[in-house]
Amino acid sequence: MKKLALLVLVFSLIFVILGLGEPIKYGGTLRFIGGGGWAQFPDSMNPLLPEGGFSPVVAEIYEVLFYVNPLNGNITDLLGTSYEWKNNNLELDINTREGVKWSDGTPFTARDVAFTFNYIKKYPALDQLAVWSSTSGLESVEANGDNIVVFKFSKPNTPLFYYLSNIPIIPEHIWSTIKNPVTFKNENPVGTGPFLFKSSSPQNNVILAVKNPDYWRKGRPYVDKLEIRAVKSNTTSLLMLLRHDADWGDCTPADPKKLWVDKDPELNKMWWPVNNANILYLNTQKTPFDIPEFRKAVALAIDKESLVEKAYHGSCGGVAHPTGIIPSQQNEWLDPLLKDVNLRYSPQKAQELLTSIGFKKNSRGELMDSDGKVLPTYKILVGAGWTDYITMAQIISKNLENLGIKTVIDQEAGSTYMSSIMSGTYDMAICWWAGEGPSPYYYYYQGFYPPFSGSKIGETSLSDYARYTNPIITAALETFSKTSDIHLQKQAIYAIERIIVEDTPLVFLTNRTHFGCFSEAYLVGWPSDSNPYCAAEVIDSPGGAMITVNVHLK
Amino acid sequence: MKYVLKRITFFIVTAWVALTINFILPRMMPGNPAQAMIAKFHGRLNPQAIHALKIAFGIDVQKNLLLQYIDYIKRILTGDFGISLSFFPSPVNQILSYAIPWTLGLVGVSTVIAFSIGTLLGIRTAWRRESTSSGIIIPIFLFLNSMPYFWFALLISYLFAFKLKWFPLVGAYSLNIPKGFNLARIASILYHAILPACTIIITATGGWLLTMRNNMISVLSDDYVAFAQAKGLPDKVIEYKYAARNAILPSFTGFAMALGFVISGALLTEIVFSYPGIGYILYQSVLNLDYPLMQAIFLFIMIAVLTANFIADLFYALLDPRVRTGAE
Amino acid sequence: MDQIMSFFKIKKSVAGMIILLFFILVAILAPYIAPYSPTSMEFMPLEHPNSQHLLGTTATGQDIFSRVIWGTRLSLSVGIITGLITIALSIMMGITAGYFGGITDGILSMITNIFLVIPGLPLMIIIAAYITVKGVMTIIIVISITGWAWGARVLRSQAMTLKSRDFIKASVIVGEKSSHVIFSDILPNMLSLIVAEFFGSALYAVLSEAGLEFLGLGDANAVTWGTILYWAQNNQAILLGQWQWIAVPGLCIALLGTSFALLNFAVDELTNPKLRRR
Repeated sequence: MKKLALLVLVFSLIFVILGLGEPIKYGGTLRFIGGGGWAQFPDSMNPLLPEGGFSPVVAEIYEVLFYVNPLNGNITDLLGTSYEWKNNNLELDINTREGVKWSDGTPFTARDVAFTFNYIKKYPALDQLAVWSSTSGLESVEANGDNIVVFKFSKPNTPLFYYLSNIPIIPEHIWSTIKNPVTFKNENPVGTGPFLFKSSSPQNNVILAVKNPDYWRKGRPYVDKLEIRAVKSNTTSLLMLLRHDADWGDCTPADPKKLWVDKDPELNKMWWPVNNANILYLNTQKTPFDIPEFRKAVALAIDKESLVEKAYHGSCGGVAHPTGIIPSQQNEWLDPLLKDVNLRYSPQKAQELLTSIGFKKNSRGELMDSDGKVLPTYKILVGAGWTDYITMAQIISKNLENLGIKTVIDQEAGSTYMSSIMSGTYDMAICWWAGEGPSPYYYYYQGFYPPFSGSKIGETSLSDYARYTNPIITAALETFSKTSDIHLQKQAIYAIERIIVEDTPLVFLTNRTHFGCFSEAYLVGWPSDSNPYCAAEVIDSPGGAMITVNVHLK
Repeated sequence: MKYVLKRITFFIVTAWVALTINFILPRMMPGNPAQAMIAKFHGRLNPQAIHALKIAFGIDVQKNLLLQYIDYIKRILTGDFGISLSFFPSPVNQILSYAIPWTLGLVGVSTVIAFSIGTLLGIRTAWRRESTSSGIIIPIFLFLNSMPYFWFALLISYLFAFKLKWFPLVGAYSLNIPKGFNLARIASILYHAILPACTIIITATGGWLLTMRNNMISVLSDDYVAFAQAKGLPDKVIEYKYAARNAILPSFTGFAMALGFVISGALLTEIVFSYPGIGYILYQSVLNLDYPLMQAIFLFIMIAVLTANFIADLFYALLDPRVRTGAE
Repeated sequence: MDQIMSFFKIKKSVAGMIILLFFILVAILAPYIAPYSPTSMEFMPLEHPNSQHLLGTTATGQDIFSRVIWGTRLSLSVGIITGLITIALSIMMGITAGYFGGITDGILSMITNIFLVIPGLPLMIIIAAYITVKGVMTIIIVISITGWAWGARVLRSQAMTLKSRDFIKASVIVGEKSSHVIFSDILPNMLSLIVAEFFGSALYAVLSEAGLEFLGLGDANAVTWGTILYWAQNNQAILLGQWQWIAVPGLCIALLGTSFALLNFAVDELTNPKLRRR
């Protein structure tokens, strides 16, 4: 698969160079505008802190081993050049790139990689992807010579490769002397990446970076400078894009087609690839949400098409598949037998299902359970001010009213919202998949793996928000992680899909996307459906860094 | 002197109670900063990071509340507010030092201007209360004062910054000017501040106008004004030297309070114009349960308001002896 | 009676009254005026104003005109109810403190001062986190709790002044109960101030509600002018050319606010003898 990816990359490069027939222009500035997550850029450039804990330019300064495209699993080699699972998948050997230099001139070696991993083992506060957690099985990381890093495992865990390849590599000669790396702000970052930090202005929320002239990838990046800015509202970032004051925005206009593309279809491009799904979580530790038929009835009663139209103006990538698998992974991972399964809006079927488990409406039209007790009013939990979620909740509330189920919409501020979801005190909640990755495994693993689930209400559920576990799913997840054979892995995923379709542990609503808005006023080479070299991630991630080395003047 | 001592005791006790409330309130909110972080990034953050975040933020160790409280008081007394959680690992003091000057500059100056214009107009409309201009000015300012601030600011920003491009859309100064203290920079800062300042001034002036007008009319009916008129003093002298000077006193308490509250920033202005300042930082710190940052800002606001209040009280007592002997 | 008569002689108060009455009528008659349900999403989204939809439709296909009409109810209620709660709290704290003085005054004044100095917005967010049933009531409670302190201060000093007046002193000497003195002697004499404070608080409440909604901290599911603005802004109504969607609710808020301010102004003018014509 890796070789194929490389071939594709080479060919696409050749295609770009020959196909256009003219040389790529160098120079120019890439101007990024962020509207949402960043309130104020932190002046820390410590790459091991969580997203949002470091300046967005850090991903362009520090590189990871491989960029694994979460949409399709395609791998781009960065500091790693190849990898191999050995010894019944208990050992992973990664070859590192030769001839790479840190921006202070010191050569990069495999020892830096080993150092990075042992460093985050020593300081668990920096282990943001939990690669050293008790469930990961990772035992040791050592350099074998200048160009090989050996990862040893106590139990096979092949999917961990994705997380391992996503950790920014830091130089040993600098970080080994840092006393408290957790609060270290790293004001003079030394990395191997395509850009160098130039200056930042916290007052204006702007960060500037310049091209690294000694970058190992010859001829890249094309642009000379990065100008990264954050503003305090989504509308402002859209206005900046419309005024051509920015080339690229992580911006979520309510209706991106009308508000962005249609304003100038020649120049204004958008690519919102699906990377996640919106899910109506039903708290399976509360009755009647513990009854599979009841959950399925809820799923059937919701008009998902209407959610797509009203909450997203059709721009969210459509209705989610009932297995929750994102479109770009369906070809490879969706059981062909389940391809046409759907839970299309059908109040009548929902009603029949409810009748089959003894739930009936009383004379006032209220739904009663099998003991004849009227169901209480349930709360649908959403984040305060999240208009897409509130719109969906309004429609769901109306849909459920038809079944005789009364609901109210509970809008909570971020921390309260998340704490209700994690502690399982909610009834119904709209939220996303907690995990993402290049195969459905990552979604299912975070969503259903027992160690991430709370055994009773009040106990924290780290990522299994529905609080649903199933021995077949658990076994399938373990089978998947033990092997590097894609056929076995596929069978495992198929098994999970079947359970999800039968048992409806989650009610899938719509797809969720990344929000790439790109302007071709000055720069071209943005990712798109025809050239998905990354997933239109934000600039502060390895995927975003891919964009910075691919765009160029037009 | 006894009055002053009493005010000082009162000042300290109020401050202490308010500080304690500031400590307790945020800690009673459900959730923790790590969970807030997950919500803030709408699923972009791997939930496995919670464990690491808890260690980094120091919330994995459940210290008891009393110890936390002692720690909190210690921090206040030493002026070291620790490390912010929502802007981890920047120290709180540093974040404040970026934001406070802009807030003082924009909101402070706008408040003073609004107060000055409002007061002057108040004097004029009271002095010439029968004139048509007064009859027009007052309802206009009442209307401007009743507009939802953000609504007005959005329209202004859309029209003058986006459509007409007369003013910048975002930020506090241009990126293309040399660093340091120079004319170009000052000009750029002023240029960027015009729209946000205008919106604050336009919506705030009405309140000051009304207060001053009513005070002024009260004073104008006093005997000594009539006496001055009888003495044949020029109108301008009576208007400003006699009447306005006395009428402005009651406005001062409100003005002092307003100045005290300047430090809490102008959240909506900052959002609409993406202007730096303390309002947005306070807002984020509350939403993200960033206790260290939140508490530091609360403390500053309280000290500023209490001090302004205290000074206004003393000032008043100095000018109006009745206050000292009254029910105080 | 005299006062009421002269009230109508002031042009500003008449204007204020007319605007307020207009909105009250719209609120009462909302079901008859509004052509559609304010929450129904059945129409074509983002229609420009036309004969079917006088103010067009929202991005989710709701009739904006119907929303503005129904929104009058809640927005007006928020203003008036919050004004009443706020003034009640101010009276309770302010007059009690001013009348009794001494230690009572000390404690109550301190509470008042604390509420004055605690920044309102964070307090609003924190209080909102506790109230489990979200809705407009939450907003009313939150704005009242954070808004009464200033009025209490004003009323306190007024009560202190009144207390030293001879007719009150006389009542006290005769041996009237404190509650009687407060309710039949002090309150009536402060009525104008109380009414003025009420309109001031109502204005503050209407604007605060809009502000809270703008920040996404209100109840986005309710139909108020504030939420209409919030949804319009979130859907970038101006960029869609739907000016009326953002302009009308904003103007309604400003007009209602102006009517409160005009009435406040008129009451001030009416009851303060010095403000009347020389």
